[in-house]
Amino acid sequence: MQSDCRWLLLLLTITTFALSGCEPGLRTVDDGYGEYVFVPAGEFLMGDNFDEGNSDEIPVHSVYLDAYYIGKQKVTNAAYRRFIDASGYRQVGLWQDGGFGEHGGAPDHWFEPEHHGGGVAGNDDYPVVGVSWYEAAAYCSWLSDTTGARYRLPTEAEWEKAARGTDQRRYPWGNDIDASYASYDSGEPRASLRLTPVGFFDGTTRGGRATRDNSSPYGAYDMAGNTSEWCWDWYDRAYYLRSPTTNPTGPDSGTSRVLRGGGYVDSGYYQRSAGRHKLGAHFKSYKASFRCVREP
Amino acid sequence: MTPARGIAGAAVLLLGSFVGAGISQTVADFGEGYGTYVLVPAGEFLMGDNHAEGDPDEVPVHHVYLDDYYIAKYKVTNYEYARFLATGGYGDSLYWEAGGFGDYGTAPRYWWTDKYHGGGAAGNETFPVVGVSWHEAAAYCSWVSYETGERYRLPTEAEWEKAARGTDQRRFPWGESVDGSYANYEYSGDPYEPGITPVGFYDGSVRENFPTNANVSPYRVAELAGNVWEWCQDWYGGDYYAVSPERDPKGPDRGSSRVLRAGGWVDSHYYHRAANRNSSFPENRNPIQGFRCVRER
Repeated sequence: MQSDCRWLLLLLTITTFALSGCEPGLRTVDDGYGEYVFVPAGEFLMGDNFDEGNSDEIPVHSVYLDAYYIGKQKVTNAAYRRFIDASGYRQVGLWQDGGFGEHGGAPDHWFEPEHHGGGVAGNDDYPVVGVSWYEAAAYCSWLSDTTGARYRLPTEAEWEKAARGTDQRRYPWGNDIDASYASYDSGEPRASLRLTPVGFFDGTTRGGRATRDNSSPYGAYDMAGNTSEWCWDWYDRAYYLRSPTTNPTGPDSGTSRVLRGGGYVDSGYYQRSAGRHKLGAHFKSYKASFRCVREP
Repeated sequence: MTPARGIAGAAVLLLGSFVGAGISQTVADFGEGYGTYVLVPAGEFLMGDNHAEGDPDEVPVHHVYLDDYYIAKYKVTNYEYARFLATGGYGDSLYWEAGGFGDYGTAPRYWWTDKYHGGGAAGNETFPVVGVSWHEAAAYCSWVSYETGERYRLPTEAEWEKAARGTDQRRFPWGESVDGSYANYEYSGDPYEPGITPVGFYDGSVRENFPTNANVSPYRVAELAGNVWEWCQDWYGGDYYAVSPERDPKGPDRGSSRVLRAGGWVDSHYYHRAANRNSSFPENRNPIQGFRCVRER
């Protein structure tokens, strides 16, 4: 541990990395578009080790990933607005095949107060929702063009490792969930379920409500609750039976893309870090958003 | 933990004994030991979310006419499913014409799992079978057909919804409002929390100091809301209501997911509304999914 810290401090002096602590997982980078947390290279066990999930979550299998950075928070409305304002919707080179020109000029719900759309004043810190997989992927491509670093959507394996680390925990912070950790359906009346601003659950008291820090072992927030997040991969229910053990990137083709994490209207069962969801790449859901990864 | 009703061989007789003498024309167990079935008379009903509160796939509300059919009064229990296993159901392709033969080992996924009251352990006879794929559910209904000479199968989605809410567009099988005395949902407070309740638990009696209300539909079908989801026959189509035939709709011709109805013990009661629709890939086996069959007239 001690030598790790010295190594990181040395790194700090010769790079632009912002070092916010000596513990593993707290190394971050910020290219001017939000903080990204470091996930070191190594192996983790992917899948439902609790024998409680769907059949697409098994078998549990070992996966080795190279190092990467992942968004500390979901992409906010304020961040996404910069993409809109930079004419992101009109730059064909940012869009995956089949996506360009198919998605209007803004996400669904952008002007709807009840969904905390980014076109409504006061919603800068809410996650952007109502984005298709294409819009999410285009935003990450735009970050690459703008910063010169390589940004993209996380693979499903990168997402799961960033959420639960290497100790096979059920949720990013541990094995149990309650309403102090995340915005999800914890049995409250449905009309009271709410999207929260990113980073709401950080251990502070907000509006008289005590929150707990819901960050993952690497320091990524809100990887359970609030919204589901697009991943790069095509969805295949049987993928774990045949996925490569090193840097899996999903099947070559498919009909739906992977979503991970649960939304604010979903119950605890659907917030498990091993849980897999899917949606057609063109769909824009009020409870789907994303974060990007940044390659080192 | 006290089983809600008798166990083993007694279960069938007790299920039969719930049938009131005055409704013998609409309820029958056909004397063959495959559970009690309830008649849903032919006629029209309005299918879909008339409360403007559901998901986009629950509308438009539309007229559906169904011929009469019988539907199981309860979800299929471990006791019932064990007979399918014991007679070699997993080893005989005869029952698996809908697919899946040989894909699922020798028993449901959680058959030996205490946490989910698997049927492999004594004392779990009256719990619903879980951890069954759509194929296993379909194969069970097919097996009952071969055993009895009658036509059993999974319910269509329309049959399921009509059985659950009748013709008056109610929200839940018993009426408009819900609380933990009616059904097993997330944090509903039952003595098995968090977990699966025995079939027939919500019958209006007091159980282990826990008062229940009767979770029955207008046709006296039990527990069509809550506890575990139920596989339906149909492929799932999110836009199906816009194009479905008015008479005996059977779902899209193809798809990748099969319909699930009822809501589970991990879900909020939003998903227990009779109009709510869910789906999963047919191979999926998890601790929140079971099924019941229908018997054709």
